Amino acid sequence: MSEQDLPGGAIRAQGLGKQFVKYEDAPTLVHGLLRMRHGRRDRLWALNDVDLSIEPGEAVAVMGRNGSGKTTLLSLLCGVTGPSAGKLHVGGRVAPLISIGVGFHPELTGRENVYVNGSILGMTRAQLDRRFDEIVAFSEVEDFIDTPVKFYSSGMNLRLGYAVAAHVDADVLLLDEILAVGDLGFQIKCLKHMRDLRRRGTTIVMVSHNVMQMEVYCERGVVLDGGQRLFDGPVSEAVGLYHELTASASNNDAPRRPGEVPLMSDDLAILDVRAVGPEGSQRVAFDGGETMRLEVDVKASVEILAPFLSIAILSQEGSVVYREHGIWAPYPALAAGETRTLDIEIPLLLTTGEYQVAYWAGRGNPHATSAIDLAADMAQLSVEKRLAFRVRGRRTAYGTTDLQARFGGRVQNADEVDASLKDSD
Amino acid sequence: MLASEEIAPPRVPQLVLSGGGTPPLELIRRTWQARSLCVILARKDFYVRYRRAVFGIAWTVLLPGLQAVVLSVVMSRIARFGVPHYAVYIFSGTVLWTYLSSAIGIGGTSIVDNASLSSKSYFPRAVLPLAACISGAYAFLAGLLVLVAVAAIDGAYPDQHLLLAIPAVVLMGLFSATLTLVFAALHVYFRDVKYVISALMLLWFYVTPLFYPLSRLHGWSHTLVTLNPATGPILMMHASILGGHVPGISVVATLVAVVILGVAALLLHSRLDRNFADLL
Repeated sequence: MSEQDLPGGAIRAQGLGKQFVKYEDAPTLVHGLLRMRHGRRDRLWALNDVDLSIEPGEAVAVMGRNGSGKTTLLSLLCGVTGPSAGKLHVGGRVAPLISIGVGFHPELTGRENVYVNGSILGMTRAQLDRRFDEIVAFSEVEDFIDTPVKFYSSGMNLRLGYAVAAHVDADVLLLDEILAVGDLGFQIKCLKHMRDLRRRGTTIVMVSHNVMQMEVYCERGVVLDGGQRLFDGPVSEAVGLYHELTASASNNDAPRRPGEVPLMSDDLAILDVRAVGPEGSQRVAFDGGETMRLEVDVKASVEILAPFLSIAILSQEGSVVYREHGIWAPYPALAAGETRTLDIEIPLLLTTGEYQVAYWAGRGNPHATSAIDLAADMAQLSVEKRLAFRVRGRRTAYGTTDLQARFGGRVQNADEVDASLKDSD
Repeated sequence: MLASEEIAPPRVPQLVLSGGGTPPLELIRRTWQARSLCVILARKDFYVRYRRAVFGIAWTVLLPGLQAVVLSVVMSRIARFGVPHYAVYIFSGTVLWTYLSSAIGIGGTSIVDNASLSSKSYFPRAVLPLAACISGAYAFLAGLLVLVAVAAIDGAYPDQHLLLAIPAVVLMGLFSATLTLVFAALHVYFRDVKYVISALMLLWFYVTPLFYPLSRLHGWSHTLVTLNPATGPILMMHASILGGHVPGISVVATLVAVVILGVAALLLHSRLDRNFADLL
């Protein structure tokens, strides 16, 4: 094959495709023999005609919904599986950090497992001998290295696995949801380690559902959808597109949860929604403490005397951070056939993370004489919809709600501290 | 262009994938490069298997030993084969037979059994069945030591014939390795192979001269057993302890089987090496 060699860390993919055969079940001999006669099997392109060119030292985030082909792409990049179409050329050694702790056997000691796992990742005995102490030190399990791994905590297990994988001198590092490893201290250690690797020119390809992490670590983003490359460019744009994909998906199938409010009709249809920042432009990302204005375009098919909006903020895990019905502050009456934009301003006292705002429109009772009457009469007049957004909160605050505690009278700001330290350098 | 995967000058390895498979020579080279992985996996396998057992590695000898005792007791009541040192005769054969059957039994399903390894990182899949063959060899070596001791106690002192054990082991090693490679590849596609192996071993046991001498057979059964590829190494093993004649045709049969199975294994693995993971 007359092919020019690529430098270590470079990746070239041309028309890359991977087709899977959908088996109902594992094929058996009988099926195999029958199939030779009349072969009709369902086929599925998990990855279709993808072009990709990555230079040494780049950090690329691969995003996409479940089943978009991310994992297939990683499997191809580390050579676990071969392409069905197109061509893939990778220069240098690939370390798949998807294979953390692969081959760890519970009966074997940490030491023995380091050798087994390291060999699977392609290290020679001599290399392992040389780097053994470094690996153990990184994993922080020195005291238990001669204990069978079955007595390890899951954190120790992961740390040792990560340590081995991180010490394979690779030109390309593949990361799959990896940084959820261990406690915060260890995560920071991993991130620092990766930063060092990148300085030495290691290429990083990252797949994660944690968009924040990818945005921090990568400058380039690739969005896959249905096995095809939808976008390849700056990570911030990729993240925006990814959010649109996930948001539209959750809008379409947002299940109506049984609430305390009956869904009467679709008389107050929601036409469109926008999340707008204080400067007036539409956004998906907000800083913690900023106010998001949610603009909801509604169309009334009958006259609505006391229209209101109901909102809920949901965390990434789906738990309700906050919920309120706007029934005690209705908007002016809507005439039949009228279209109008209703808005809510929400101060985002939230920490860093992905959130969704769920919203629906309804009507209250303008003639109610008490709060109880009002609540009893309210009705939901649109289906519930959701919009995803993300918050970059204060770096020192954890949890979901940023209560902005004052330490000695001051709300902490790590960025200012960083800046002042930099100045004093 | 059917397939390609190549490695360029030492410093920067290149991975080039474009459908098809891996060229046979390239696959052999890669497998050779992964030999230390092979040995480490074999050792792990051997070690793990007996670690929790009270008798530990003694089981590797106890099982074929028990089989030899049972067979010699039962068979000497049913038929008089007139074989001197009958128990030693059986033991010497079953030690090598146990090697073959455990290599095939464990190695034949090894690619599927190690799915957690092979679906997450790449190494030539041939490493897994080969590791099973190497792991079985450790047990065999332990068995061989006990065999020599038992033979000496029984009055069959080892002499220069013992050297025949070396070609016996090498030949059986090659045969089981190639057969295991073929089974392991097929097993990924057809899970029935597991049961085919069980059935095969059951029948095969009786057409191999383990508890009867080849000289007692005549006609078609003699031909069948003589041409059985497992017969050559087993007869060599008998001869190494008790002396005796090894028909050249049996050794040739084993060699022919090794060549045919070797080619089949190479073709299967070079075509499917990168596709196994899709079915795990």
